[in-house]
Amino acid sequence: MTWPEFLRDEHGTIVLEEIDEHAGSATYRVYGRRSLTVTAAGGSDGDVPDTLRDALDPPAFGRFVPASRWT
Amino acid sequence: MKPAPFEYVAARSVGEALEALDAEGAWVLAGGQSLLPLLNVRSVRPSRLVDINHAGLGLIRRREGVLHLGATVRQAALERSSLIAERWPLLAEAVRHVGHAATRSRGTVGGSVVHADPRAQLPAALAALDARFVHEGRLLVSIEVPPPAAGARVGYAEFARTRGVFADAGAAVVLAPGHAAIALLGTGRAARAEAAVRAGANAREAAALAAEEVEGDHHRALVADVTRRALERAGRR
Repeated sequence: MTWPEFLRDEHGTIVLEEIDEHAGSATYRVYGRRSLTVTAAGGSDGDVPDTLRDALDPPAFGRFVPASRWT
Repeated sequence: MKPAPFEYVAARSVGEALEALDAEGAWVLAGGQSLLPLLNVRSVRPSRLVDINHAGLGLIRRREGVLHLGATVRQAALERSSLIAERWPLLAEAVRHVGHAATRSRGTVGGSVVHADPRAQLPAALAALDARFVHEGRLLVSIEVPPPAAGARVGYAEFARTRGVFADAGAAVVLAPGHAAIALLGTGRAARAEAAVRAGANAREAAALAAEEVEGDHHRALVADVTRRALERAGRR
């Protein structure tokens, strides 16, 4: 899995902070909020996990999904 | 006072940083928590500062069991990492004693190592963990920390006059079956104390040997106290 280093739009930035290759997970820092950890769930290398896409373009919760809603 | 004039170069990669550092009087700028005060009082006067904050060295990564800390990993990132807390708790414990929350948010692990203040906590913790420092040219690019031994227990203790100031003494300990690592702030590994622990010495006996690594009655008393406490936290009685 290749994790994107940055996800950025005009409302903010999510920055890759940690990769655990053993667990297949990555932790991102949502600036001004908190860290969140996502786990690769299939998909080809370079795919952005849906959960990260949602963090920048959530359907219902404002620009950023509250970290409490992440799994 | 303000810094003497210098040229500022923002490196976007390790290659760019190395190229920019290939000049007389060029220094590396990482988190700046030690360097900027020195610049402001003109203790140091670099002709060029090479900023490596955007050179792609800010990642914590576990690969094949080994922890790779990029040189510009923030101390705050180390502190909040659940991976570090779970697998390398000595680092999590030591970093909480570094400065204040505000300085940890900018200060970097690599900067702490390279600045090498004898009272800095992270170099001692990394020494106890048998970390390896990876350089490219003049630049520290990452720190590799091997996986903890099976059954390893750790402890960190220090004496500082107030919270957030540099400690007068500190000890980082890793104990595992057949293995003992004791690193003191400022003097590094205490080989005789380690051998004593492996031979079955209790915490107080090993701490007394560690104290012989430093000079002065007061300093020895402090080192004995922090080493004993660190050993006890690691399970040695």
